[in-house]
Amino acid sequence: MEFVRQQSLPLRRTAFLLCGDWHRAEDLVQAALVKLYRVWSRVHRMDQPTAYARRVLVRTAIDESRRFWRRERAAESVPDHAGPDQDTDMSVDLRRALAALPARQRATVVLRHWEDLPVHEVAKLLRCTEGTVKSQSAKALTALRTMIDADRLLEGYR
Amino acid sequence: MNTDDNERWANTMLADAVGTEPELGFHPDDVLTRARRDRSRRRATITGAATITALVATGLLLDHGSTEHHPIITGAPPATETTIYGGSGDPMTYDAHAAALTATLADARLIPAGIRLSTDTSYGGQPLVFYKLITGQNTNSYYAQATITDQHGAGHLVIQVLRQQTGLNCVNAPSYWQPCESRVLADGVRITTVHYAPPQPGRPAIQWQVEVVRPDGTAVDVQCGNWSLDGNPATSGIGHATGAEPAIGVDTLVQLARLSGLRP
Repeated sequence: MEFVRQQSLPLRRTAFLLCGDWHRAEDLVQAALVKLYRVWSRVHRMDQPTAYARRVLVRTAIDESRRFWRRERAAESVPDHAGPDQDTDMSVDLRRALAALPARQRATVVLRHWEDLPVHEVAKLLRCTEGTVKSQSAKALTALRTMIDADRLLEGYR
Repeated sequence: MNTDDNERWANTMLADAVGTEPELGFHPDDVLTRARRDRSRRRATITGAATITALVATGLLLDHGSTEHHPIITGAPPATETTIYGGSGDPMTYDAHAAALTATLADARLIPAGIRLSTDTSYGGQPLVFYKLITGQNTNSYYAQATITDQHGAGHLVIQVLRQQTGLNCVNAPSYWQPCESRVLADGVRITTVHYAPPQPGRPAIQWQVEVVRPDGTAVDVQCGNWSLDGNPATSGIGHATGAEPAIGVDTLVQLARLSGLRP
């Protein structure tokens, strides 16, 4: 219970960067936590259960991104809290650029540069080689730079 | 830009992408309740899995689309409700209503001749057999899937029967929804068709999405694309598009989405 309470928000931020939608991010976190519960008796003895939870989340997000579930949410049932409407044009553009990346490239960028994980951990998490992580990360950053409006970059990121 | 600059840029960019963070929309208690229920269901499913294996072996016959016949789904539904786990571990139920939806789809014989059907392993279940989703965003909706293979290669077909849907909006559609068209029929049914072509290098991945929303809010959503999700990374995914267009045309997909028997 304590783990769920402490990790829900950080996991949701990561999930949001992976999928670009707060509601879907919450679905992903809940799905990942449910999966984690199945193996909790083993996981909670680990040194880093958070790392395991993150791994489950990323796998869930990648699996989910391959599918095309249609969201079923009537307008009146959308929670009344802050959403993308309150975000700046820049953050919307950034999310759009992130969303245009292939799922694994997006995951690589998020794990390397948001979660700040070392290359070997990202490779382990994504079940690929360290070389692949480096090349995917470089490709993703190049693509992001190309997609994001150059004027905004000059103003905000240099 | 050196490596440190690059990393700083990426980190700042991601922090800005998060933007305004809403309050958490679920309670930890709810997650734990759901997890406990899920564990109970999984235990109960051991028997169910044996049932559905026997069912597939003996009754649920799929004619995988010879050149002379449309794919046909026949056979009696299971006598009892059966839960299986889909491609990513989501539980789904084959119940009496799923059987009725499956029969409606099969009876319509809309899948073109020459198309071979197999399971889309990303979703799981038998091809073009409806299942009820019992967790997640689409709880209580029904879906059917198939990997559809024609002379150009493999693609996907996903059909969802939804309880409540407000409808796709072409007004603020992304640039790669081209065209995106909506029309309302005399009986109040709203049909939206979207030609989805995400920007990417190489052979274009193309998907048709057809949505029918009825006046009571129930909806049918059909998606058919020219890439498969058969689980083989060498041949499936958006980077492995086949053919210039999906194997099933938009007119057929509209016919499918408008089947009156496809109701939640």
